Amino acid sequence: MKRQRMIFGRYIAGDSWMHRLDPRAKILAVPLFMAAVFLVDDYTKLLALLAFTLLLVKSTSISLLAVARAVKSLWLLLSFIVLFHLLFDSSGAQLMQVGAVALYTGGLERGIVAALRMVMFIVFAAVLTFTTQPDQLAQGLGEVLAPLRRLGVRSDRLTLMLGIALRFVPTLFDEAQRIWKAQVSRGLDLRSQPLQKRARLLAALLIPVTAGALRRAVALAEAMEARGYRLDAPRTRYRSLSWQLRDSCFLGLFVLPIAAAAWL
Amino acid sequence: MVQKKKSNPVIRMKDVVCRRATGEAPVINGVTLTVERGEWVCVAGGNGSGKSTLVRLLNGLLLAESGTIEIDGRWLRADTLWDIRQKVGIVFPQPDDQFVGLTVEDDLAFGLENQGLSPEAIDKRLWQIAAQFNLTELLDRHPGTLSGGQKQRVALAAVLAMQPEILILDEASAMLDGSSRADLLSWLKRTHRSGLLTIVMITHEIEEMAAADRLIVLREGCVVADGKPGELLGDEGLLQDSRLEIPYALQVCRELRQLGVETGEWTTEREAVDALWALVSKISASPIRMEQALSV
Amino acid sequence: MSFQLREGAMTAVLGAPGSGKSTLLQHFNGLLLPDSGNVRVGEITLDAGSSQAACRAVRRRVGLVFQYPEQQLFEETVLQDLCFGPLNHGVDEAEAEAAARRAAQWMGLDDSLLARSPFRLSSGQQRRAAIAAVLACDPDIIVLDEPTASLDAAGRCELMARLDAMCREAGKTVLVATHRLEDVAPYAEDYVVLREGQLTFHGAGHTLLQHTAALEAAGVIVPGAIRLALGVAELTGIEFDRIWPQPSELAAAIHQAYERGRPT
Repeated sequence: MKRQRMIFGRYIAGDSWMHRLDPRAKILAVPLFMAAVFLVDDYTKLLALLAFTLLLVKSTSISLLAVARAVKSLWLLLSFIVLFHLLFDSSGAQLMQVGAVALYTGGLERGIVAALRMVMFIVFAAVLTFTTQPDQLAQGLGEVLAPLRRLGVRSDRLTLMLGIALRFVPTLFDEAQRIWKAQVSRGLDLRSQPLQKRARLLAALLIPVTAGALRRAVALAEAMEARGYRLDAPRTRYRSLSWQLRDSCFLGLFVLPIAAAAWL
Repeated sequence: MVQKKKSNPVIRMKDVVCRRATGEAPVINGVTLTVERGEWVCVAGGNGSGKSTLVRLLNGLLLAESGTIEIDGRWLRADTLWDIRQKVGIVFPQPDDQFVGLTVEDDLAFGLENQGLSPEAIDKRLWQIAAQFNLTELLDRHPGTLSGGQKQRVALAAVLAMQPEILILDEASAMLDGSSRADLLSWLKRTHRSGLLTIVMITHEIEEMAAADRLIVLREGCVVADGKPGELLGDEGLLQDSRLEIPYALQVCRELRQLGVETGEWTTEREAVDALWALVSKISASPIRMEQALSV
Repeated sequence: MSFQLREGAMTAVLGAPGSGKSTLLQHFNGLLLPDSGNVRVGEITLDAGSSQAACRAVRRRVGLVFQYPEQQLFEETVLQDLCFGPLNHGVDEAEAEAAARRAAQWMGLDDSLLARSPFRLSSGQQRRAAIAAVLACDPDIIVLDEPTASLDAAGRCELMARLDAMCREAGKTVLVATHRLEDVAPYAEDYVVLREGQLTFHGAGHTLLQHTAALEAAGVIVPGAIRLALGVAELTGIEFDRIWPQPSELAAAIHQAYERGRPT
């Protein structure tokens, strides 16, 4: 059955300036942005950074709803961050007493700031994947990591693994869905089972999917070798990325917030 | 004066033995055969007969324990593997498990990248092969959005882009529906007529076997039959042993013979169909209608 | 789309890949619910608002075998896998094992195979085991999606013959979705042709062959052997109850006509 909808990588087609950037620029911007996010230490700078992030998102054609959904999916992580600070930070005035645990305003404040930092990071990462096609992402990452080869990091193997993962994740996902449906057709019903039994019943999904993935891996390796692939042997690259002025400008854009965060 | 066709073997196997693991029974048990350049050979046999192993020996995916294999005049050994793989292309049965690239374009370029061609050369060949196989519209699609037939087309194109001399098809149509299989078969027939490729094909389908120059039947790692498909497909004992389909017309004629109704001499399916038709038109009330589309 | 399945007979659903066969089949056991209209199985009716409990009840009566069902095998032994279905439906262990053994017999699986790991069976045995796993739940209606996919010729004939036996001897209702007319032609009584989600034909075998245009439009090829049988039947005026008689049947009928026509 043909599936026209590409759900994977959450790539949203578009033609904004961010879509047209070299993937290497976008990938290199990640640690720069991360540095900025963690260097800001007062409220004005934090809000300025937040405004910068939202402006960035707005200028691409990505809907805020999609970004909001990406943030929402990590609500567990965000609540954990807030909770962590709330429970273990005892600075500031006492807010309330919950049983034996005392909660303080300082904790709440720090928790919210930490969560906000995380939100900005998630937003940035989300927009990156929304505006970069998976194959571009893989290639970009491969080229960014290439210099590490001198340090002994097998960056070409990493790129290969990433590429194959990106290629097969949708396929494996489809297969998992099919297997799940097949087991449900045989009466599998997790909801009616106690917790311990549920773990065991998940084997009905995990084992076939794993076995399938292993089978595919062997077949794929054979197919690759048959087409002349040799691990670690030199090979040409058909696609090439070309760095443009706009990519340098984009990176330059990120140096500003860091400088501002660090020195102002 | 009949001129004997000059022998031009492109594959030569001699006393080849191959085992999956030491101590186990051999999967290929002493096979000797020669394939001429431009020939179309079908390999058939039941499960476990060694068909898949045989073709994997031809491009070194498996190495023989003993015996020799010569591809286009070169001995197949661990050090000549890479060169030989340039000449031998293989299409596997599973459309998904041989699709390496993230997009059709990437997959078509994969083999060419391995061969070390320059990006310009890859570009040229890629567009050529994409046009030939009607893939131009599909170049930027992820395999998850393609049908099985489309993926197999990409697989075939990707292998042919490397310009091999020998094309091996390992049950390449097993996962395909009727029309995709028919498309593949007509492409094979056209290509075979041009004489540019030597084709070795593993199949269960009678029509594919019938279209080939030669049919080799394997059983338990040995060649039990090697000859013209027309003749072999009339040998019921052979077909039954190899778990192959006995053509319908042949079965009907055999049953009729048992009932005492003679249908004349027939050894091939075509002859059986003709004989059956002749018999039926003799006993029918209405005149023979030759337009009854009988393309068995 | 509206139609009724004939009880105790084999119905064939013909159509090319993408015609909606798989989607249709998933409506038969509640994996998918219709947007409008309903699916009635015995006393249970499924519609857009049906509960999961209703779907589960349907699954006790309808067994669905997906394409390449061997992918769903996961237990340590074949016997355990065959028991999975009945156990999910609340059957006790002893009865489940008995049902499993019965199903194994139906599919011609030797007792010795039952103690083996499903991953140690040959591909043909795995296919039969997976189908037996669905049969073990003892459904009244068995729905199969391309059950003969990638089997060799002998395997296809054997499987179809077994499915036919389920109808004739066990009184089951069997529905086979396929693109291969030659697989179902010797056994099916009713034919449904699908094209792009629409039902373009529903009727008995004889009328099907008068609508070859519908078949061709749906991407189903009428193999030469069937056309041969048709031609023979037409010329000799013989009628058969299945669209593709067994060779012995055809030979017997020709023999009869021959005897009748022989000059005395």
